[in-house]
Amino acid sequence: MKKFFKAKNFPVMRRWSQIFSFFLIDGYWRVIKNPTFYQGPLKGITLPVMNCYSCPLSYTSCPIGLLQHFLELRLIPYYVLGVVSSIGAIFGRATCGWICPFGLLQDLAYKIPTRKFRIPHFLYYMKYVFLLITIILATWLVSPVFCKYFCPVGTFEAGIPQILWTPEYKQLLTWIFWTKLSVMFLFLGLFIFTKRPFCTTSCPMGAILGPFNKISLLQMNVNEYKCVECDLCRTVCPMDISIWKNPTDMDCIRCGKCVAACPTGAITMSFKNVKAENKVDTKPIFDGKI
Amino acid sequence: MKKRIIALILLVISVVILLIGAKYGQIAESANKGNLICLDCIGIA
Repeated sequence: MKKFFKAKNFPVMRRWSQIFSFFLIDGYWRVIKNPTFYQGPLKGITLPVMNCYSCPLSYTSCPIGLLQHFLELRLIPYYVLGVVSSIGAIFGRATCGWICPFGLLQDLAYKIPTRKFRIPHFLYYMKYVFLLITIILATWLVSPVFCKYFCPVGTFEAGIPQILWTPEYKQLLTWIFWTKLSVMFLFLGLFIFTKRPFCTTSCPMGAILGPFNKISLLQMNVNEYKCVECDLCRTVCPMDISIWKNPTDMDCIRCGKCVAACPTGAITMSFKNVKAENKVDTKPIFDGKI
Repeated sequence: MKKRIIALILLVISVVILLIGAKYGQIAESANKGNLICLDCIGIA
């Protein structure tokens, strides 16, 4: 058992964590017999992941939906901010990599063998614009624009199943639904060709959690004496970042793929402060083979 | 070390904020909101 919890097993552990979390967060499978959705006290729980609360399978509430709800009511969203920042202070953006169901979908879709391309890094800043304009400002001043006109998570997890199951909703469809559906299909297509396009460019949850990477207790560490700057960490990274350049990168989802892939063992992920160890002058042990 | 102290302080502040939210009934309000179908999310609002 102890051998299983080794750095090289992080990708396997993460995949199991994603699958387990999916069945825990979206575990209301009774809907298959009775087309409805879960209504109960567990909806009071929110986790820092993108998971629509109107998804028929969902047990928990969407933090972005709640954030908008409280802002619409002109209330400070203490509860949501408290949950998100306490988890962020401990794990940084690790929840994106280890438990987010929409992240799992993107990871699996990217496995479809086809030609892949990289998203330009300047587009990574778009999610902060989304957070500021469509969620905070628009909700405060007008209405929840993000959920209403854009969110592909809501369309995928809630819109499609609810409309298929409830005939009355079909009569209420307007251009808003078709716009959201187009956005969703655009992203579903992109999932196959690029690494986590929603997380990198549009996820408001990622935008909130990102800055916590700078100070969180769980940290990525790069031993500069061991690192040979081969950039293999970027090749395997689901967010397409070079962690050796910036271990506290706001886009790192702490998936541990780079830790397992690093040929010299220069990258580690831990709660320990390993800065002191990095100062030890250890010679690179890379033999040139990747 | 400095970062870890900041993270721990932030964690304590976050838990306090969370408890304030709970005291103001925001957990119950979250459950109420979650128990209603979100027409915005579906795209028919």
